[in-house]
Amino acid sequence: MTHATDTDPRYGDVPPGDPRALDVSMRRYSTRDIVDVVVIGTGAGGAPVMARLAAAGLSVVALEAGPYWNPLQEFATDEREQAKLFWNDERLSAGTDPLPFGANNSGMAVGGSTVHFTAFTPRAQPDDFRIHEEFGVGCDWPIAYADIERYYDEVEEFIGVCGPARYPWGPRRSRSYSMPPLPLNASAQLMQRGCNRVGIKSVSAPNAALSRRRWQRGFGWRERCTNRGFCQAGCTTTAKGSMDVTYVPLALDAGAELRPECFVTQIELDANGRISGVVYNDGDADHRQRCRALFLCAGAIETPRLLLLNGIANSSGQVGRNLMAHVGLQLWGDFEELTRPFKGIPAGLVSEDTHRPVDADFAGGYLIQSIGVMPVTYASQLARATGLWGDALREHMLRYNHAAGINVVGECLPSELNRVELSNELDVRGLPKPRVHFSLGENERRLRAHAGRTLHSIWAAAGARSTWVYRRNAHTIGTCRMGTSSGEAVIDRNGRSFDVPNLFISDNSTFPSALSVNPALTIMALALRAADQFLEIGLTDG
Amino acid sequence: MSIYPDGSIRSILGSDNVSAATRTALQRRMDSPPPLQCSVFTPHHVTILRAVCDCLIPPTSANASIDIPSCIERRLAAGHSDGWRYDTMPSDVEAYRSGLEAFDDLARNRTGRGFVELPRVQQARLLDDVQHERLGNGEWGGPHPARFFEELLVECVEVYYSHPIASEEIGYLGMADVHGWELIGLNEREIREPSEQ
Repeated sequence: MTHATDTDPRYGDVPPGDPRALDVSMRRYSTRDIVDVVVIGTGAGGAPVMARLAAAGLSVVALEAGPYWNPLQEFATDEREQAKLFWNDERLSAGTDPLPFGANNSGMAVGGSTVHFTAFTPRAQPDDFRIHEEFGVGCDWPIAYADIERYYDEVEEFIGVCGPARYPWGPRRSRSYSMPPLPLNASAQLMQRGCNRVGIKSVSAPNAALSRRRWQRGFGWRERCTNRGFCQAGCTTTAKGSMDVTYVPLALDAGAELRPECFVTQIELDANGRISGVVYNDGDADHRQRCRALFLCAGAIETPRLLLLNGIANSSGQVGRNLMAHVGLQLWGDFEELTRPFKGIPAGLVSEDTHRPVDADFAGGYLIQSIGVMPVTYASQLARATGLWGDALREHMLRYNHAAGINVVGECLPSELNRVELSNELDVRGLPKPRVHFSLGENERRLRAHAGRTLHSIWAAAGARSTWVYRRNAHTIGTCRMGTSSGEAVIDRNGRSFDVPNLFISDNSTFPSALSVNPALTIMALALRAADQFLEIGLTDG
Repeated sequence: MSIYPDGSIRSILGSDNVSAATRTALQRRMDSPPPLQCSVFTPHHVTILRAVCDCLIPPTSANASIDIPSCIERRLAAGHSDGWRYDTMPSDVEAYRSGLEAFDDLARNRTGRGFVELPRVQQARLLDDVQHERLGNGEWGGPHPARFFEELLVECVEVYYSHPIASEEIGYLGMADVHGWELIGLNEREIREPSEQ
């Protein structure tokens, strides 16, 4: 597929989305300057901040550990090749339910994990922010749904989230989705069939993927989704609303500077305990960039890691603590029909009927989504979950074109056991590897059991012959949580550190509870809110 | 047995259905890999690894050119990580070396013969015992057996199913996506997708 912008001289020498654009048109600051804001990380938490602050006229330098890929040229439709998108620096995984990292967990690229996320972008519901009030466990947010509702509207509009004309769960939307949903693939059709038969309501899922081409401010034309189903290995068409084709170009257009392949190692404080700058390595040498404020947006593993490495912002002792990961149980079935499961937007259908199940013996709830899958991911998960090998594995894989899956995204409570710490082992950069402890608690096990029963009943009703279960936990959350008190939280309701007055955090480490939805849209909405609060409140001596 | 005819994916790779980036990646994978450097493994390790891989993914006449041990050794020699390991496991290189030696020691202790000297059926039984930790005291000197087995199996599987020959085997044509997919529902097949055999 060719794009008008690739060769059309009206668009100038350098097509939008081409990293060479950085050389041509990007504003550059000097390391001798003191910029207003340094942003670390250009994912769902950092990119909207970059854009909002630059648009307000602040001088912004964004430091991103990963490269600025040109998806049109550099992304292959091949899972193994695309492993280059992931955060592949080794993490140590501990606990009774160790979390797998790398593939589809964290990204190391301009755009962060949005470069490999599945594009599935549901909103949280109001009660997601009040688990403790409702159930007496977990932790409430210091903000409410009402505080971010307009930011949900804004993000959905800007990155382009498509969805059904009417969304039956959650509060009444001020605007329905502005683009029609993407077509249902085989697993979505099967989930629809199964849900209809067991009496569970389902609709086309909201996805940050264009169902029609459109002009993206600051970027150029973005094409509509071609159903290639490779969202988790990088979108080659610009249809997926990842940060590199939405908020990052907007930020650059507004005068922000982006420095890719720059790894921050040190955060420096002045004599007053305020951040004076950061030190980063660009592959050749260390550099110092001084700033008046720092937005740390490196995600739930790297944000606490950087703070722990530098020994700052942790009077609460909560940095790295309260790690949560959603119960992400998956059920796979073998069907008589051909499914060709790699095709189509992977999360085509959703149900939130199980948001707060009436027969629950646990706090919280979960959503259900249909899922497509690429073959190497399928084979890998199959081997890990079932232990099949030899002829048995080969025979199972011969049925790949008849496989279809559904999964849940379920609540996880914070626990003393679950945390990120620094290990004694050094990585390739000479920095201590993070050790991540994760163990499911009783609430998660009960939720998982309930979810398993629900998924089995849907899949049986849809016609699944044999099934297998993949017990996974997904999305790392909560390790620098927001709160009202400096004793129990790392940042306040606006993202500002209780300890360091010009330090702000904006990523999934700030969540006090996991929510029963995928985090990406909420991270982006919170990012815009944090940027607006920063602009309004400004920097004080704290 | 192969869902798509032999060579059908390999011939599509040259067509305009496949992007340049995809073609480059897959062609590189199919080109004969360089010979094992033996920088990470000794020749002894390599023979054991080859025997283990042949149990995990049995060789056929079609898939003989998929050299899983070479891919593993290349990855380890380059120091590439997949982003994590179980905390209870040593480093990848150490895990492989001690794990492969442990397979051999287990075989010798139980049968008096080395792992590679045993018939495939007996090798498979030993692997099964390691996978399910049916091991007596002192029988296993390698890393955490179930975890090691899992990591080794997953790596073999990922190498294998990344190869176009394996794509033919399972009937997967997703790499030919330049023109997108219109027919994505149940029982639908795009014209360029070969019929199943």
